[in-house]
Amino acid sequence: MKRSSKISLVRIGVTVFSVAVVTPLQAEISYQFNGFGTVAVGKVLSGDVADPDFVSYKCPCFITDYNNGGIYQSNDGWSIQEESRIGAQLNVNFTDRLSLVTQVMARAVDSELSLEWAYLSYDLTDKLTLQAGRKRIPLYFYSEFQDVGFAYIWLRPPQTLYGWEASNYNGANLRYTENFSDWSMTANIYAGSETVDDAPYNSLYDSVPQDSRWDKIRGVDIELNRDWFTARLIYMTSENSTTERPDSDAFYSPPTDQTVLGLSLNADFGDWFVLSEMNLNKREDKADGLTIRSPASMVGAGYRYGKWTPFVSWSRFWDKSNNLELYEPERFTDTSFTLRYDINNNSSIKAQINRLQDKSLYNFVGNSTVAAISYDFIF
Amino acid sequence: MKAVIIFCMVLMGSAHADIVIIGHSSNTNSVSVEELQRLYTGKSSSFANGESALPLNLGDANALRTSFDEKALGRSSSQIKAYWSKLVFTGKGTPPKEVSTEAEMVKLVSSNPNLLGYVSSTADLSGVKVLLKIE
Repeated sequence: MKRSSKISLVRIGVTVFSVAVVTPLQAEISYQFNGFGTVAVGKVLSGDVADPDFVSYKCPCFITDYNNGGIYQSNDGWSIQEESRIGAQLNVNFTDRLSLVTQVMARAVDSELSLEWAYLSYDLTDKLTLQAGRKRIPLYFYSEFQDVGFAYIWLRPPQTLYGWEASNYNGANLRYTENFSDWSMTANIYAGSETVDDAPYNSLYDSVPQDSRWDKIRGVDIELNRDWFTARLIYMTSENSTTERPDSDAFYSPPTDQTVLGLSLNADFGDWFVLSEMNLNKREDKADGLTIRSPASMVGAGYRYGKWTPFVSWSRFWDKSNNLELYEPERFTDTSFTLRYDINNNSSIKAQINRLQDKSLYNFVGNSTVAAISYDFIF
Repeated sequence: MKAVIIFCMVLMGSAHADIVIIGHSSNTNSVSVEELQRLYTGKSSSFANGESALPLNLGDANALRTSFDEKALGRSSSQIKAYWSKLVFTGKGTPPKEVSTEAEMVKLVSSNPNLLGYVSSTADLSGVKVLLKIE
């Protein structure tokens, strides 16, 4: 079911593309084909946990990717399937102002194709762009290019922040860019919805397959940049609901109201750089009077020494529940050390050690030390 | 021996140190380093007078590309590639078009008032105007 729905989305993309190809609006249609990939192996080196059985996983275990369900388990050897992936993107420029962006991902963890981007973009003016279709939710600083390992320093962005049920949405957005004196700014508003069939996120917490829905997604993100300084502010609301399969029409009602507020502050001095991100996710289940606040934060620093970049980061996810019987908070800190080596302008190798300390109020993944090595490339 | 090689590389480096930013002979704009950085990182797409500006780049294999990235943009070529891969794979931008030689760069820029390029100061600059010199 999951496969067929994803394939059908790909089919829509291919159809849109074919229509675009067979109806040349004018002679100047241009195409760009690009891609990227990551081959990664990782392993839980050591750890401890009160009860080794968590859902269907053997712990201490380490969730590499909440969106797609990647997890290193204690009984596994070096595993290549949790984080390895490849993406291909086709941009079709119909005119100077109108273009189509399509990106498809294949991940070893689910061995199927997923359509990450498929949208039409139209420049209303030089500064204002209207886009509609399927996009990534621009929730965190790295959310939109989380799959492109070559574009960031970590082997994977800290999952203390980068992990919820939905990572994409179908909808529309309006983007505005402006330069004033030494500052450049991009502001974006968006709206849409997303239903994830047999959500990998949910399967990390429950053995019963579930569909997950983020409805009425409304959000804004603003990025400011000046020389070495970058700040990004986001606000998003949505109405979240789930249903247990196969009863896919019976989403729980009323939905849970989700509000997310986030701030990133980055400083890049060429050799030294500092990254930080703070986020507050609030989920209100009004039917049960349950409110969960999940502040998450991250701070990291690195130094570029020629082709080598050592980097350390610390991050924390800290649930707070107003009803411990209904919801037991998940809490953990994750400290990581990354060493990146740029092989050339198109590829790099990274090695990363994570130390996760699980302080959840229920039996979650346990404490673990995890090692991973990746080869990231673009083409 | 190693010291001699390094010394020679330093000498060669200094001989080719200057990069000139070139525009069409009719281009009346001056370009500051900040504007150049914006144009080459996709943050701006117009000259000071508001006319559309299309930057051209040299290909990866060209040594001048590396020194342009480092001296004009202040980043290593690998960092610039990582920056563009973020924009490309989120559909937010397309990197400057690439040409393989400085001669081709001069030829293209001399024929289109919207183009912007760079070559070493020792190159044949006939038909183009120097908008900025980077040492």
